[in-house]
Amino acid sequence: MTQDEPTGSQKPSRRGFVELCIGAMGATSAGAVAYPVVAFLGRPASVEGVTTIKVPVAELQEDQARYVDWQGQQIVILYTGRTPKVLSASCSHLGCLVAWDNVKHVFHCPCHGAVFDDQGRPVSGPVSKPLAAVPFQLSEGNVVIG
Amino acid sequence: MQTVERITDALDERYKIRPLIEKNVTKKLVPRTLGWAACFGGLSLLVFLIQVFSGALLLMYYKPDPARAWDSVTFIKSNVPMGWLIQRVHAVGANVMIVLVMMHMARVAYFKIYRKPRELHWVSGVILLILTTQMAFTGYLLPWTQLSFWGAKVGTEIPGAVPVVGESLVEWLRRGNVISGETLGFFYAMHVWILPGMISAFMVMHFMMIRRTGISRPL
Repeated sequence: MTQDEPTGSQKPSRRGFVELCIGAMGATSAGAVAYPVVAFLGRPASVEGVTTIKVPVAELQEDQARYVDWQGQQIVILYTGRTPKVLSASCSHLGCLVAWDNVKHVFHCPCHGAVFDDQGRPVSGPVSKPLAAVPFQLSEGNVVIG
Repeated sequence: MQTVERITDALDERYKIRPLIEKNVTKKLVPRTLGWAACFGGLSLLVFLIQVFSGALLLMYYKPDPARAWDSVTFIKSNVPMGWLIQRVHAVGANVMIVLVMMHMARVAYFKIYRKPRELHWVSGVILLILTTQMAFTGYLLPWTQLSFWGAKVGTEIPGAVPVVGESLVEWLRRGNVISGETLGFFYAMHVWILPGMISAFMVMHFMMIRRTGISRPL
């Protein structure tokens, strides 16, 4: 570097270089902290939608409903002693979760009072459509959904 | 860089922040004889803040229930992205904080900084030490492992040595005769809310007192 060179604003100064280095170190440190924190806020590995569900028929109790998560929706497996029935647990009115009443043998929606029978057919309330049936297979004593 | 300047200008115009930054950060004069050992108090605060933030992250998945506590910690460690790191940072940070607090106290004791007018700095500092160890003790139970369980059992037995009230003290700490779900709930509330609140209050007092008397200048 020569002495007669003018000190213009474009000339890299020692101070500017040190500032850049400190800035780079700061940014690296901030990144090293931010990366795991942002990653932590992401979705955990096992919350991916489960595609197939297998429930042994022997585990099902008579007249009891079993609620399970399947592909992001709640479904209900109902066993009334003959064959299992798998229905969407969302009310066909506005989508609230219906509750099984094993005394009256109906599904009851807590939101607007819709009632469905054990086959998912509407009985009373503001509904005309049945609870959506979910296709399933019976294989080797298991209810296989999906 | 220019954007930073312009934001600072705008804030300075309104709230006069430049003199504030100069007085407290960029032009703050530190006694020349002050060594690196004077950093331990500030480092303890830094680790405390790391514990608060990593703890807040763990809180998203932790479940204070004997049936699910261990599973939820395992879930954090194996399923949550970077969860193993956050959990480790929080567990190791507890030990690091106790070490730093001890070193801070050792320096204050060795240089006799606790003398008049700083007696209450020391008293609030000892209270902070006790609260820090209690944070570590209550946090240790939360993963609900064998070590946690027996650690809490032995730890809660200690006040039993107190004459007359010892036994009721043990029962009070355990919320019953044995370490149970009630103990876990109590330790959890202590660990995430009550003790951190108390620590924060005493820290504010500690720092305000240091501001009033100024830092001790070694010869």
